[in-house]
Amino acid sequence: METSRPVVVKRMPEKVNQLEARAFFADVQPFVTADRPQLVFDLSQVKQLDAAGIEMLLRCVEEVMKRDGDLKLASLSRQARMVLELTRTDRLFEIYENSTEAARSFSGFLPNAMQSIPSYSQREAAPTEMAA
Amino acid sequence: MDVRAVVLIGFPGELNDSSSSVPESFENFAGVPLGLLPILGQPVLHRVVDRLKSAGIDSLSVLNAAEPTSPLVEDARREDFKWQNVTSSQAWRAAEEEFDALARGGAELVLVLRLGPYAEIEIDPLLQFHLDQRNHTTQVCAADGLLDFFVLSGSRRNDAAFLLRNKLGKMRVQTRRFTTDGYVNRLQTAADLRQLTIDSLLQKTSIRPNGEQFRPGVWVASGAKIERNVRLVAPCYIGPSTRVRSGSLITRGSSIEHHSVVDCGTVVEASTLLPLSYLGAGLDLVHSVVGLKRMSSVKYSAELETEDRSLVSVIPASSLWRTVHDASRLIAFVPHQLLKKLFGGRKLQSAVPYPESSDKAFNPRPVARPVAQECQPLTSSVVTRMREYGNQ
Repeated sequence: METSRPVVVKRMPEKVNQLEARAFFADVQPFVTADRPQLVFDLSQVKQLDAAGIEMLLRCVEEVMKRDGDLKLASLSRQARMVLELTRTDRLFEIYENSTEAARSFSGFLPNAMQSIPSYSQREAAPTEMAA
Repeated sequence: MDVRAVVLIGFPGELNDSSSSVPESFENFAGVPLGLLPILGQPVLHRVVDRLKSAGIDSLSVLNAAEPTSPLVEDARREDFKWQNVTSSQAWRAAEEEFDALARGGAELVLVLRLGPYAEIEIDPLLQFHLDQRNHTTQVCAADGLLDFFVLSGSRRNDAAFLLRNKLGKMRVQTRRFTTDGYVNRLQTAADLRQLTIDSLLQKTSIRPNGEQFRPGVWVASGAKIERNVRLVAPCYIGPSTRVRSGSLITRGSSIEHHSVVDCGTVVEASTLLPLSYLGAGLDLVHSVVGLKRMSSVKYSAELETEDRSLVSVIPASSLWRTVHDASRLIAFVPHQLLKKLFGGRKLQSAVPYPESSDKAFNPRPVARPVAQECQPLTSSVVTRMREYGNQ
């Protein structure tokens, strides 16, 4: 399970609109198009995320999957989480509490660091998301 | 010391809240006890039996009061323990007879447990507690209540008879209980089954997926066919001889059990697909347990029986029937597609979301469906595209 390939961690900007998304994609493109890329996007600073930002994330994951790599998300801000849940894009990604854990997760499974895993109370049927 | 065990399956349990009536789906799914359903590639019963065997209990009897004809019940039978089907009316009587047989055979201590709950109890401390306390009967107690898990002294047949005649509800002599702090899941509803799956994937239980971890948190068993443009998001489990077709997404603690098929473009999120189940194309399965022509939604606490072949259907248990089944689907599919090509026109073709060819990577767009993406501003390029469609 150990991997010697590098893990690239990129922090996303505060605003991810069309312009910023394009600039961010241009920035990460060399890593995305590498052989079997291992990427982590840190969304801790994201305050605004619109359709262009989501589109950019989808494009990145598509490119990464084509090359047999993976893209994981870390440190989601509340705003980023809201938009990802609204667009149901969150289920496409492994989401971690912080980028260190996300980077480590490429080498081994870290069940305790994962977010967004549903939990069902034994007394109540309605699912709840496990909090960070 | 000669220690043996009797495992009771499909024996009716009782709700903790005795004032409410027991629902039809209590401790079972489509009539199959939850204890016989597989969790990450192996029935819960096998997990329990293996645990008892690892504690040195080699002589095990399983009494099954559930309908024995289901293929999942057949799956749970194994050579290394004695299996006996009993009728539900004679179930407790049969348990009593089995206890007598074990006691006559020289058993000094007999564990009697009902599945029922899945509990990870340390057997050696339990037996030591029973001996130290000089109990005739010792019941195990968890943090959330009593468990149907007992240690009985082989020489105390009257105590055993009293306990079994009272359906494990009353002991002849009240004794000190053994308290466990191990993992316990009551396995009463489909939600409990989902919780056990997730807890096992997150390694909170001693259950480990039966398969190879080919990527951190993603386990795939032998014989599973996963097409190239499928996205598997950890943690998840793909069981043996399953097929996950192109464009699918398996995510958030989902489990696809053996010989199941997930058709093109379907999302399985936080759900369990039971063995020998077919899940149709383009579906979005969330917080559910599906199989045996039944869907149980944990989110809505509702169950639905369905026989629609485009949604959920059952795959035959025998390999010969599966081949015939696949051939018949192909025979039905080819002329249908030919007719569609000849008379269907272009509109029909564009209406069917075909998956991309397998050499391309996973396309997340149809799965994610960002709301804003579907509502584009009316730019000149969009108008040009609309005109093109109009001309067609």
